[in-house]
Amino acid sequence: MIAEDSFGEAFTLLAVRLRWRSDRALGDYLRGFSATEAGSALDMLKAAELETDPKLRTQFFRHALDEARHAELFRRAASDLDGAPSGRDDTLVIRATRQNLFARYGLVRFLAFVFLSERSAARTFEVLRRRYADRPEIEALFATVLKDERFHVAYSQAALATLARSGRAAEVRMALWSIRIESAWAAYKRVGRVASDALARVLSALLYFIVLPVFVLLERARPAETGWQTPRQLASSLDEARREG
Amino acid sequence: MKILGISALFHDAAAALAIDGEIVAAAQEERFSRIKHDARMPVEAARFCLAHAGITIDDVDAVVFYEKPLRKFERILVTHLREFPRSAPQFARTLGSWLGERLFSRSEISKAFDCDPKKVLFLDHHLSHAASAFYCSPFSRAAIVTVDGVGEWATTTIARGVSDETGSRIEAIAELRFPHSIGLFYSALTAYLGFEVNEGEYKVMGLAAYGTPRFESEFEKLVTIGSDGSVHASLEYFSYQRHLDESFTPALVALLGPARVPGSILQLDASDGQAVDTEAQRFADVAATLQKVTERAMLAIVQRAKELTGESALCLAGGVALNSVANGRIVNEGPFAEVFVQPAAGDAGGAVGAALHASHALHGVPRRIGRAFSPFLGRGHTEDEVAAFVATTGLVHQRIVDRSALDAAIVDRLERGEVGGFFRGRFEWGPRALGARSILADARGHGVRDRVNRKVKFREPFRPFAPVVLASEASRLFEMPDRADHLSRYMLTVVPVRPDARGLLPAITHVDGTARVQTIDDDEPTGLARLIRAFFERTGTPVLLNTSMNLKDEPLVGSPAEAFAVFLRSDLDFLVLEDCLIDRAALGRAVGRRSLSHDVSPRGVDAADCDRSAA
Repeated sequence: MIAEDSFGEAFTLLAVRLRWRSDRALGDYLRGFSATEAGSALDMLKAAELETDPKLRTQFFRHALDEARHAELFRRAASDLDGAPSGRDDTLVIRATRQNLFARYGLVRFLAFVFLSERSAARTFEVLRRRYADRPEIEALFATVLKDERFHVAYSQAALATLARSGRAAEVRMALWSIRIESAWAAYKRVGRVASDALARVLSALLYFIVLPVFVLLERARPAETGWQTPRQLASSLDEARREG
Repeated sequence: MKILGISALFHDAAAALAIDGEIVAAAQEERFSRIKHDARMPVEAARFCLAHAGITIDDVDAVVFYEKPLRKFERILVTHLREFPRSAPQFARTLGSWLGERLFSRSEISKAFDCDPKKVLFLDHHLSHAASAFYCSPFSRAAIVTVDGVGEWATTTIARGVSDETGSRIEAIAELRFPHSIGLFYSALTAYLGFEVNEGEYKVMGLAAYGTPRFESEFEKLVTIGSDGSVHASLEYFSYQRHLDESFTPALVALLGPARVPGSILQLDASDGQAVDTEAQRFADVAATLQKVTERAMLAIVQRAKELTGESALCLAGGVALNSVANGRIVNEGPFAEVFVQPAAGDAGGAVGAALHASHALHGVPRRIGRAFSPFLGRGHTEDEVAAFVATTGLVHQRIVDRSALDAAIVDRLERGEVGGFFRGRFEWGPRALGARSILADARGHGVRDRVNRKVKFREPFRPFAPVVLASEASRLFEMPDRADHLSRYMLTVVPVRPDARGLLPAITHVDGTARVQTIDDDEPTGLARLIRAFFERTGTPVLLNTSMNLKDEPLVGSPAEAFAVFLRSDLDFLVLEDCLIDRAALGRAVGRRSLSHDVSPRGVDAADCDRSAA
C-alpha cells in the first residue's frame, strides 16, 4: 500500500479541506499539477536524449510522454471543473520549467530523485483518489495518473536496485539521502522566500510613498518627449560599450 | 575574432556566435528549454553555439548583451514617478526583479556564462536590432528602421548603416520614445482581443483579414500618426506604462466595447452552416482597423527614413517588422528600391545584432557584403545520430539513404493527402519554420487546411497556413513584387495569390486571397526544394503547405526526440527524420496517444522495500 504514511495523508487531507473548497480552487490546483507534470515531461525528455543506456532511455522517453499526457488530463479536468476557457489554463503549462535535473544530478542522483518524487506523488494521488471517491470523474483522473506514477516508481526503483547490485550500493544510498536533504532545504527556502517577499513589499511600499513623492514633483516639471527626438550617440567604441548605462 | 551575442531577461532569449564577422551558430533558448519565449539567460543556447564552433568560453573575445540595463532601469523608475501613485501596485514587483539580478547584469552574465566580467559589453537595444538587420543584409549602405515595444527609451528608431573602406558603422538619426510606441499599441490591442501579448500578434494579423476597418474614427482617439511618421499614443486608454500584466484601461473598453475573453470561440466562417457571431465580427473589425493603422504608421515611418537618409535600400528589425502584411505594403508602396528584414526581427535577433556590431563596428572586422543570410544556424543531428535515436524507440521504420527514393516516398504520401513532419539539418533562426523543422502537406487539398489545424496544430481555425514554393515558379502562382526576394525567402511578406491559382491552392489561400509565401531556391540545404521539385514533376504544382513542427503553444522542435514527441501526440501521418521515414501505421498498439506504461505491470510498492532494494 503506497499511502500508508498517516501523517502525510492527514496533511494532504487538511490541505484539501482548507484550500480546495470550491471547484474553482480545485481547478486552479489541477492547473498547478498540470504545469508540474509538463515541466517534468521536459526533464524526462531531456534525460531520454542524454542517457546512453537504451533500456533506461526508452523508459525515460515513455515517462516523458506519460507526464505530457497527465499535464493534458489535468488541464482538461480543470477546464471542465470551472468552465474557464482553455486559453487561460494554457499559460501555466507554457510557463512550465525544465530544471535540467539529469545534467545537474547525473544518472544515479537523477534516478533517486525520480524514485522519491514519484513515490511522494503516488502517495498524494492515492490520498486524493480516495478523498474524491464520491466524484467519479475526479477519482478516475487521479486513478489514471496514479497507475502511471506507480509504474514510474517501479521502474526507477528497479533501475536503482540494478545499480546497487552492480557494486554501486553506497553511491545509490548516498544519492537517496542527498535528494531527501535537498528537498527539505528547498522546502525551507520556499518558506523563507514567502517571508522575505512580504518584508520586501512592506519596505518598497514605504520607499514608494515616503521617498518617491519628492522626485515625482521634479519629474513632472520636465516637458514630455513626443515626436521625433535626436538620439544619443550609439556605441562606436569599446569604452562606451563597456558601460551598462 | 570570436564574439558571443546575448539577448535575455525580457522575452525570447537567444545566443549567437560570430567568428570573424560571420554568424556560425545562433539559437533561441526556447528550443533547448522547451519553454515558449523563454527569457532566462540563454545558457544552453550559448553552450550549443560554442560546441558547434568547437571552442570554449575562454576562447571568446567578448560577450555582448543586447541592451543597456541601467538605462532601461532609469526608464522604469522615471515611468513609476510619472505614473505616481497609480504605479504603486507594480513598484514592489519591479524593484524586486531589478534589485534581485537585472541591475547587476555584468556579474549575472559573467556568472551565467562563466566568463571574465571584463569581457562583457553592452549595446543599446535598438542598435542591436538595427545591427541585426543591416549586417545580415546584402547592402553596403542602407536606411535602418527598428520598431518594437520599447528598449531602453526608444520605441522606434531611424538610422543609417554604412560599410565602406573605412569600416562599418551605424549612425542614429532619429527616435521615438516611450510611452509612444506602435509596438506597445499593437500589443495592447492584442490583449484587448483576448490574445497573449508577445505571442498573439500573429493571430491578430490573421484575424484582421476577416474584418473591415470600420473603427478608424475610434482609433484616431487612441493614437495619432503624424505626417512625419511620429506616433503619439493617448495614454488614458492604455496602462502598459504602469502595469506589467495589463495593457489597456476601462476607457478603451468604453470606446470599442467589451474586450474578448481569452480562449473564447471566434465564429467567423459561415461555411459550416453556423451564422457568423456578431461579437466575433466586431473583434475581427477591430483587428482589421488595428492592422490598417499599423500599416499606415509603418509606411509613414519608412517614408520619414527615406527623407532623412536618402538611401535606396531599407533594413527593418524589431518585433513590428514581423508584421508580414505591413512588410508587403512597404515593399509595394514604400519609397525604397530594396528591403531586407531580419528573420528573427524580435528580441531574439538582438543577439545576432550585438555579436555583429561588436565584430564589425567595435573590433573593425571587415564585412563580406552581398551574400544571402542563411537562417539555418541552429543545432543539427547527423543521420547516424538520428538513426540511433529511432532505433531506441523500437519502432518499425525505413531508412532510405537514396534521397531521390526518399523524396518519391514522401511525395507518394503527400499526394494521398497525408500530412507529415520533415526534420532535416540545422534548425531555423527566427520564428518561422523554413524547411528544417516543418510540417508539410499538399496545398491543393480542400480538407487539408482544417485537418492540419484541428488534428495537428490544434490552433484557431481562422489562422492561415503558409505555402512554400519553388522560387523559379513563384510568380506563376503569386503576385510577387520585384523587390520581395529578401523577404519571401524568410516567409516575411504577404502577397496576393493569383486569382486563377486560388481555387487550386485552397489550403494556403487566406480569406482575403493572400498568402504568406516562402520562396525556396534549389541550393538550400534542407533538401526541401528537391522534394518540392519532385512533387512538382509528379503533380504539376510547385507548392506545399509549410507550417512549423510544434504543437499549439510549444516552441518549434529542436531534437529528434522532440519531433517524435510531436508525432506521437498529434495525428501526423508520417515523420521524416533525416533519412528515416516512420509511418503512423507502423506505430502499432504499443505507442500512440494512450499510455505507454502498460508493458510493465504497475505494482504496489512498499516504501521501506523501495529504500532497501535500492540501497
